[in-house]
Amino acid sequence: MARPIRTRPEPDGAGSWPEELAPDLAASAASLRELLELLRLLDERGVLRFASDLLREEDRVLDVVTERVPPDDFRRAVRNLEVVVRTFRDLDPATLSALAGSVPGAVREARRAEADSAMGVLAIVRTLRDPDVNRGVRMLLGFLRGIGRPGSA
Amino acid sequence: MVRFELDGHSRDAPDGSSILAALRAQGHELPSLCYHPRLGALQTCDACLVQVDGRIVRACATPLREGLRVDASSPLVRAAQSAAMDRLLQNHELACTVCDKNNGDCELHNAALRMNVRRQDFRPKPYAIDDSNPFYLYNPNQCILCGRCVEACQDVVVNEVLHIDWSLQPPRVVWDRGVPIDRSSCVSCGACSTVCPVDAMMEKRIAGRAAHFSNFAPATRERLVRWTKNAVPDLGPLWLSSEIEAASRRGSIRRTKTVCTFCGVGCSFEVWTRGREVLKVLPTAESPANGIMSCVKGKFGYDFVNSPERLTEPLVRDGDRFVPASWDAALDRVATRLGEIRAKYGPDSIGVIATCTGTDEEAYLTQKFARQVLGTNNVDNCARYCQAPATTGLFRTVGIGADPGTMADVEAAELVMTIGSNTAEAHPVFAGRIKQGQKLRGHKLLVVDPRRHELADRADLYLAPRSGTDLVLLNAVARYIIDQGWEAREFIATRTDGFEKFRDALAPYTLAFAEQVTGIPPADLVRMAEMFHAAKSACALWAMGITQHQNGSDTSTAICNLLLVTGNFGRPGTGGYPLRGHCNVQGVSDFGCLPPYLPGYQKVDDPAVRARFEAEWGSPVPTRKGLTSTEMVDAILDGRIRALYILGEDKVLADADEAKVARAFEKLELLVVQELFLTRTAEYADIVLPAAASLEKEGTFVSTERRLQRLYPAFPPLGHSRTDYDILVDLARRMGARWQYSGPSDVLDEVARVTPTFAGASFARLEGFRSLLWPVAPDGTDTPVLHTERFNFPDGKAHFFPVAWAEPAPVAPEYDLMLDNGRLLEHFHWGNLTYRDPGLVHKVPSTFVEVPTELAAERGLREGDRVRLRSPTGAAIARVHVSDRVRGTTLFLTLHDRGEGAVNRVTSDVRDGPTTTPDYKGTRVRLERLEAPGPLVSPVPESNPHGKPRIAQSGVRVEAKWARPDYRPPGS
Repeated sequence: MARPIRTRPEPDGAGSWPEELAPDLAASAASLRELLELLRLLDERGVLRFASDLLREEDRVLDVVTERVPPDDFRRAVRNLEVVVRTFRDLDPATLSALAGSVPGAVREARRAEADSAMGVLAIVRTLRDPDVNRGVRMLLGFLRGIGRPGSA
Repeated sequence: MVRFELDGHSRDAPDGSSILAALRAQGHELPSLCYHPRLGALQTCDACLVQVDGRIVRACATPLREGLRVDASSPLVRAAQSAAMDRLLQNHELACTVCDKNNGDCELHNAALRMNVRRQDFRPKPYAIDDSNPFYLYNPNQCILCGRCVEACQDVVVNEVLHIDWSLQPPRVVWDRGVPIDRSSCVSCGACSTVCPVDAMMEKRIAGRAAHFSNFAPATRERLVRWTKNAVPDLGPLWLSSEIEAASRRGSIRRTKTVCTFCGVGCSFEVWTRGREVLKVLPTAESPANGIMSCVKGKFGYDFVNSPERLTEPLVRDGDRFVPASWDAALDRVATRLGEIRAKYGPDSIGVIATCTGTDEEAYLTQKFARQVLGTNNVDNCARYCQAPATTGLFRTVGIGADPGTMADVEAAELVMTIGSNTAEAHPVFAGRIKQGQKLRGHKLLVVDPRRHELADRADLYLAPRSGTDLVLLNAVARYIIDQGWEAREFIATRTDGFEKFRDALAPYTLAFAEQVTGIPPADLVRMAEMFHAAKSACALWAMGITQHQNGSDTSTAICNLLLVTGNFGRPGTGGYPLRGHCNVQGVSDFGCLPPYLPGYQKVDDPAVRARFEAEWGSPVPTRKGLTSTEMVDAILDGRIRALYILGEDKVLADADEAKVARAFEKLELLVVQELFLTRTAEYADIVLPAAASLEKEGTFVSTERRLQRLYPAFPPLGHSRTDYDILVDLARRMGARWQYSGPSDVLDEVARVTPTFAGASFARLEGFRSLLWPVAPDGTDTPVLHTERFNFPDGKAHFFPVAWAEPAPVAPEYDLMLDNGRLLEHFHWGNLTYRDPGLVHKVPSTFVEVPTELAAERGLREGDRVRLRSPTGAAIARVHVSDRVRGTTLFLTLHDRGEGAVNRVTSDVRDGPTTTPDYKGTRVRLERLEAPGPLVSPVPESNPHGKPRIAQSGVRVEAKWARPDYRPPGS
């Protein structure tokens, strides 16, 4: 007499981890939870899928890029990128840092000078005696010399 | 062929081509947004412009003629096309990189990209998105007003809900008279979203899921798009980024051709999946049966496939609980127990029930398992509950028990009679073809049914006879036609046999007698006869309202007799069409899961047939008469059957008299059930084997049209579930059979070798969306229309088969109400699949019983009252829906319940003689009102679309657009 059975057995839990990993997992439980949360959010927002789809379809995506972007544009873009990279490579960080550090002060001075009345020749000569201005003019002239030297451009 | 000139070059095109079709065939891509191969030229988008004879014209609506000079590329034409595209883009914001439609097939995206459009002047519309419907949404801001959705709704599926209100500023698509979608008469067939060229009408399942960056809150998305467009007004970067985005998702979204798993119409689709997630179900222009049509279940009802309630591992009974088992353990146990029972009681102590939702190849293996491995002809399928009487009627009269033609024939018929069929809900896509014939071609529709449904509302003549009396009505009309001398004399003389005997047998069926039995006045019967007389071609469609009566076979025969009298068999646009109710109920019968037939309806008792199968199988075919599915229940109770193997059939709920079946199952020594879910039947099993759904299978189905079509697996079976093919092959081998198949394709090849009907059928010939209508000759030629040369009898003639009316068995007078029952559009049978879909439940939450308005008033019943329906068999409980669809003392209970409202708690086991199909529709009940706990709630919510008024119009009414003051004709 087979009476109806209306319930299903509870499903077993997912497969367990190897035993030797148990201490590490326990120690990293909080981090793993954060990691899983991050993964969940990345998945929920579609970031994981986009990344995996891009990788999966790398050839097709590159096809699109290479088909849609004209070869000349592509060549120019790559060369410019290369120049930018080389320029940044060749710059001395200490020098660039010193120069970059003086930019905010220069901008402030420029703002103030903008409000002054018009300058005559004598006023310009007087100003050149200011050691800061004199130093700035020397640096500017040096920069122009470098730009103008054959083989620089 | 027509010779014409394209941009100065001579070209040829087939006669009757439009310029657009000819240019596309030449590989010339004209922009065109409103044209669709299944909809034709709507002339709303004004994009496909060319110059002919100095005038700018629409290529879609301009026929080619000899010598025509077409300019499709000159600067003037390009400028006109660009201007048209600019106007279209005022209606649609190009944000393709974050658009779910960006799958490479957005027609607007593609056209604009080809034209290298660099800027757009988008003008937002002041309308909100309507996402009230559970299945699809409408975004007016993205709608280009091409009208494809309206055309599909009005003139293809003919549901007549959508239209564009051209008087609004700006115009938009509206539902009925401007109500939210979910409150409208929309039946959610999804055709609008299928044909929408952009993302305006979109399936919700894919919205926010297909694109990588579409899952933002709408306001955020809009701001992001706005910022981006302000920063970069040039569209160049958009094209690049959107193309990259589309390319990147191509690998993760898979498109698989499948065939619908619900009714028997045979709709085929492309199903879009990501992993196991069903993103979209897309009917295509190439779908041979349905084209762009679908119904709410076929388009949207797939939640069950990934339901957490799916069975994913074998279960074995252990006392009063199930315990999980490995496949090896479960199948070994099945094999051992079947072997023991066969050895102890003989092979005929085992019965096998095949599934109507499995593939043809699985059906073939099921009957082969029964006959070869178990040694019994006790193999049957669910056609026993529904279609067997119809098949008998056709066998008796024309010799082949299947639809003689296709839906194209029904659409082309000057007269369509549906009798005992709620086609618009049970076979909605088929109904669409009938409605097309009536609306677009002016064909006549005659509906005979005790319950008033959609087709009855549309009918040119609607007759509501007393339930189960159709045979008298049909015989009386046949007699009247003969009395008037309207019979098809030449057809009868040359193509039929037995007319005189038939004519004489009709003598008692006068109009007066018919009125007395059916309640139909003679004048209406005469009108019905006149309609047949006036029609040059007629089709008759019938379903459970005919077959599920104790005279089901005879009434089916009477339908065929009437068609023969009027000459309506054996030519296109004619014939008798039983409407098959399961996706593969035709196939499971065609492939031999019937007690007296091997595949192809080859008789088991024919020694020559058996010899062919024995040669192929290398083992004898049993000769003893097999039992039908309903007879097996009797045989269990009297001890002849000891074990039952049921594949995909909820037999406890499907058989009449549920309590009797339950008693029988409790008595079995072994019950094996192969299922998706723990159904009511599986609850009685000793071993439950988890089976795969159709989306997880490879194989073929046969539709009601006799159409063989392939389905491909969209993803693997869930968990440890397996296909019926896998399970049967594994089990047969464990029981000693030497089945060597490399896949379902091998099975079909074997069928073709032993079954003349399928001699030319193969997977290769059914690749993709290709299909074959059986019989299929060895060279692959199929047969769209049967009986054109000869009928399937030795003399080649159709046979009149006289049938007589017999009063049904009397029922005690206390059972004073007739209980009709049947399907609704939104659910499928007991709801094992459809009640797992929240959208379908939203539309129809539960079963209910329709009570006529007058009867409700007389008995003091209110909408939402709980009532008990008591019959001599048992009782069922349901809520009341007061309705004018039923009349007098007839009630209607839906099929869709697995519990206290299950209809077969009250149906009786009285059966149709020739087929043993139960008389489900002849149930008499008495009604008892119950106290309703809590406030009365209607079982039919406001979101239910049925019975609401529709707005019928002819297509999209482009003339109204042209009459707008702001309309600018092409080229202006």
